[in-house]
Amino acid sequence: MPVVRLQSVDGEVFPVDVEIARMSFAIRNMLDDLGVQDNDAEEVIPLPNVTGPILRKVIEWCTHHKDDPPPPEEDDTREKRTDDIPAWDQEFLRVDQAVLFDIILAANYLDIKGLLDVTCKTVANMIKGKTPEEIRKLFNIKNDFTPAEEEQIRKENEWCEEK
Amino acid sequence: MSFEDLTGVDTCAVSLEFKIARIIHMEPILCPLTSSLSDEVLLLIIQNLGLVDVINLSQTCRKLDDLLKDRTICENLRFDWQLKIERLDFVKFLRNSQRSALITKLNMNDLYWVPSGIIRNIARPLANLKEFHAGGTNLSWTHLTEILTPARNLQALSWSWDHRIENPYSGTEPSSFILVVGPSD
Repeated sequence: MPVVRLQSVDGEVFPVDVEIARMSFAIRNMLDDLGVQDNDAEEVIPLPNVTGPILRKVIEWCTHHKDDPPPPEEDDTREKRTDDIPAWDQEFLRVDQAVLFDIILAANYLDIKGLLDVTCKTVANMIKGKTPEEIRKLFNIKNDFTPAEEEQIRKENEWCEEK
Repeated sequence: MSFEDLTGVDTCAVSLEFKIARIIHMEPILCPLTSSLSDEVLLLIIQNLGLVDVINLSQTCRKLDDLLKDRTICENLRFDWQLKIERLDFVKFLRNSQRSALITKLNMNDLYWVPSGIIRNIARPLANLKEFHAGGTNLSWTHLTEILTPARNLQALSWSWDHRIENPYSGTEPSSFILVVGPSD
């Protein structure tokens, strides 16, 4: 199996099967631009936005999903389902918030649609069904609405009374 | 002691001082959601949420509230009939002028628990409303006409009204009525 070498920002080099690396459209484009043939095994692709530990996770995900069928075209008008995350992915994404967000950033930068979808759904599931205060607590969000604004909204409350 | 040793010591001291300063001032840890993710990625996450969660999220902080004034969120609002949300939260979200200017489709089908006057108050200020669905709601004929009078861009409408589910506002109303105009949703 032909191999490419992916280099993280902190200098770690990961040899990866070309087929798996090409699941990232960003890497696919780089390989195509470089005119890399399947037998140019020594090519090193620098990835300046991804750290070693995160790149390791991304490669692990891609390796597990390398034989997945392409995702079906989605109907944008409907609310998407988020209860369809495979068990393996749920386990794989049971990580710190910071790591989860780093994986999202990497999936976005590397343009790996499947991984971006499943990580975004995971965060959406964290938000679903929570009150504003619970969401603030979960993500350490500071309530920065001014008391004057809150007061204004309270005054407008009468707007929602039956007239 | 060599010069290098000295600089080494110095750096250490500075970094220690820095750490202590951080502890003393209790530097707030940033919200990972809004500080690390781009708006583009945040919107991808939000696309997976239903309207109730969107409304709740908009009330957490200014940044997310502003982000949720995006066209992709506001253009097509479909309320789930199971929607469980405080009236005031509804209002806070929909009263924003940036948002109400973006709303072109509003689907309130089967929100049987929302009083007629509130549906009127929500729908009437929407200047760009093209589709409005209020089947199975309490919306009265009188209030519907108040919505329709300023809605110049309306292309599709569905409304049903049943005498049994609400007191009539005047004796001239039909006792039961279904109205569908334009392509139904």
